[in-house]
Amino acid sequence: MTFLQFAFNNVKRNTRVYLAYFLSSVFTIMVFFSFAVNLFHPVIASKKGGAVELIIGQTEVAILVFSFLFVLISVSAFLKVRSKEFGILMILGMTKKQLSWLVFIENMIIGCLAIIVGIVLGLVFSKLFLMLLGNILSYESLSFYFPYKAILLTTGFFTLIFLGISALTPFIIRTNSIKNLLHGAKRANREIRFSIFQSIAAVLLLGLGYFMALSPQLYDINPLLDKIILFIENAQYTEVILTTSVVVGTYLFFSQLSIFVLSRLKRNRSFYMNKTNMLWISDLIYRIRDNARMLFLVTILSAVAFTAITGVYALSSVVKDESLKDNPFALTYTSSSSNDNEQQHINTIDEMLESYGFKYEKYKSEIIKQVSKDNQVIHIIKQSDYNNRASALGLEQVALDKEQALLVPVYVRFDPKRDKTLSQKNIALDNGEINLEVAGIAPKVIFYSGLFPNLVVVNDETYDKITNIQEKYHSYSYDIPDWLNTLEVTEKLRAKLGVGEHGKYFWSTRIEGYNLENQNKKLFLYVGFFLGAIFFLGASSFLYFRLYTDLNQEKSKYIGMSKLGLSFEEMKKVASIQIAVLFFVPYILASIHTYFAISVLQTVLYSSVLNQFLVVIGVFLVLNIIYYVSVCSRYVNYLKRFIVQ
Amino acid sequence: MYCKLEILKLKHIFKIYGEKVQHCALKDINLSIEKGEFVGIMGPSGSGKTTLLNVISTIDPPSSGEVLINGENPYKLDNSKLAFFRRKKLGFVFQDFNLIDTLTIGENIVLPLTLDGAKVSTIDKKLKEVASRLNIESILEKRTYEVSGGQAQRAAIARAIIHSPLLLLADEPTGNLDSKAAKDVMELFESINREVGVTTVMVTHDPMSASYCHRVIFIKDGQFFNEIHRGESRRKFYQQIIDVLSLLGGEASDFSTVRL
Repeated sequence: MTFLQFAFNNVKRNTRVYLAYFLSSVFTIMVFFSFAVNLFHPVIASKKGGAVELIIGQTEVAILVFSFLFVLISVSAFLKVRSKEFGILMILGMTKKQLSWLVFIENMIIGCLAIIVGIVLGLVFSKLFLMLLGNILSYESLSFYFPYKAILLTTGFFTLIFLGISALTPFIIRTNSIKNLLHGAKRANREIRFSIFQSIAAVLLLGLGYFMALSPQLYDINPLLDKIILFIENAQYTEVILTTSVVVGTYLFFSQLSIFVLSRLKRNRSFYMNKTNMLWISDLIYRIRDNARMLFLVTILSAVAFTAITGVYALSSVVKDESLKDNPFALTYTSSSSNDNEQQHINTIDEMLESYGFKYEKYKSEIIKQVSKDNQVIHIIKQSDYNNRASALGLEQVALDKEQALLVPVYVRFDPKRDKTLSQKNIALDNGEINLEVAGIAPKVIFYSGLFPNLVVVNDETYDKITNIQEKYHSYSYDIPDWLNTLEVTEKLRAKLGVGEHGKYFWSTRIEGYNLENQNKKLFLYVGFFLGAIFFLGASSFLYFRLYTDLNQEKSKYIGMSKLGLSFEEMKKVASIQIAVLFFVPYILASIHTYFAISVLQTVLYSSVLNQFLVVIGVFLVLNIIYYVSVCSRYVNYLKRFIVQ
Repeated sequence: MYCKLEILKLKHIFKIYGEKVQHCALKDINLSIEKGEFVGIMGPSGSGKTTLLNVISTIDPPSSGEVLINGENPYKLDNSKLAFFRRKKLGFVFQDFNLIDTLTIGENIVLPLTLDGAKVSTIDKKLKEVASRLNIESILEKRTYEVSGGQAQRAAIARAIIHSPLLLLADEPTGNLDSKAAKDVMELFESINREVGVTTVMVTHDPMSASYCHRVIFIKDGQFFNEIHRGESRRKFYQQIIDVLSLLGGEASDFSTVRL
């Protein structure tokens, strides 16, 4: 046996330990490679600086950072478990250099294998990935090409990661004391300590983070609360503070609060002394203490995975809804008085729509723009035109008298409490010659989001009296029931009319916005799904590894207890509860984190994404249960072999 | 007149643990062991015998005093030279065998040669020799969890002597074995010592195991207490050991009952 064979045997015969780590690495590399294949595809590469390049490029960076941390944490955990083995080797005369070399070769064997397998799998699936991306971007097809650049990039970066981590190993193993390596530095009997202060800090920090996430929804309940919320909204680095407090809170939750709670549970004698409760509680305290960092990491990784997947899933499923709300009409053409071609353009649009066989309804409105002395822009529409549109949109008709006005929101997500133009009580037109009282606020946008800010509806007679006219617009809105198929006709129209002419006319369609949003959101879905999957797999790999390494210690403990008369059923119960806590506490906490992260997202969306959140959380719950059941049964079966029957 | 060759020499060894609360594990230990000797170290629990062996093993430097192995102070060597020193000159046998379980028995045995970068032909030849001497040819392909404790300890001994070390160090080699296996292992130590001439130092608290030695050194509370030499009869030596132990006054449970 040569030195190389020795290293190789170590890896080959340790597959059970390395499997989860290896598979996660392969999956990560495969995804990285596939994205690189997309990125370097001739068609994509020719469109430099586009959304695709930006989104996928940033994802690649995120994968690299994650990979580095994942490999670092896994490798250092592997090395700690093997300290006794290293002690034996050192006492047999292995030099530090040889030890580093051994670890290096082992890492490189696993790393190279993972890179090769990841790239080969990536090549196998690359056609599929290219098809997916082609579909997302609505390109005809992204043909297969030989991605030598992607291969080079992936091999290069991941070789660097594995090399870098291997170079760090001498710092991870403390080779100075063979005695400690051999006999294991005694840790298990350290006293359990926790700080009540830090436990309270955990609760406060989590509470602060959650409160900040929810604050926009809590507005208008209590004046004092409102002040706090406005203060938070105006504070700088809100996101940084929010994220930090949740992350630190999570860490303290595991390192302090959980131990605090379990210690309290211990004080409840009638519960603690009840049958096997004593066993799992006392043991769990030690396990959580020893695994606090790992549990923290698993929670954060899961939370990121859940949030990424819920986010992209929610975005992609509400996109149609959002476009409908942003553009209540399929097409809106607006012309100012200086435009001589207005009628000609409208005829073109009508003819084009008819030639494609679309059925449509057309709604024409006239809007006056006024600028008051204090430079405030106000747009005015008469009641009959408003009611015309209202009927098309299924809104209530209004009947204003001469002194009344109705305000119309300009953005879909209008907020009467904070949008100042919507909180006006009186409207002054013609520099104060016409004074109107606000009778109410229209329920939604009647042109499209962003057009005609500070829009008011007035009685037709009042409208006719207006003298101060800065500009007069004609706006034509088309209601086309079959709007989803209007992309082609829109492109034809764009070819004829262009995007508009400054100060003369401009026009907007629902289908274009929908299409763009849809592409971006599908791209996010594509990227977010894989990122989420990588993070979740990484988190699972940590858990698996921890359980595996604890097994030996657990084994001797259970053997001892079985000699004292612990039955197999009881042992199964104790082990199952403990593993369940390690599996599901991070899951539950990550789900709660995700819920609050999603409620931040909710503030920029019109539709509720609660259902999507529940679906994602549910799917992960099922995955987690499957994973738990399979790991737990393997674990218990392994222990069963050693227990005294 | 023959020239005495001193393999191991300890001069005024002290070992102090702890910073605030200091505990003196070894106090002024002096020891000289000649080539070919088979020496046992005995003492009650906590007497410092394992610390002493660790000091000799070059893995736990003494607080003061000098360790000379073959005239050389290993603690004056730098890390890699010290590793070479252990690899060439020392052999170790432990209570819990310390075989590496990702390797087969055969691969475990050849580890010291592998680390030294020996040629495959040399490795194979030496493995064959040592395996036949220790009668473990049949288990070379097995993994560590497939063999009995006695076989595992035989493999560990094979690993400790395959590179013909100057000094063989054993820490409770029979501690995890039943009496039959313990006897086999001790007979093996004795025959290796006699036939190959390896100088052997063994820590034990089992009088039966100790009775195979030429000389047994007793320590108590980190200090030298007594030493006795074996005459012709091992049975008689065993009785002498028992006598010293009772004089030492360690707890009775520290010493196993008669199993000759």
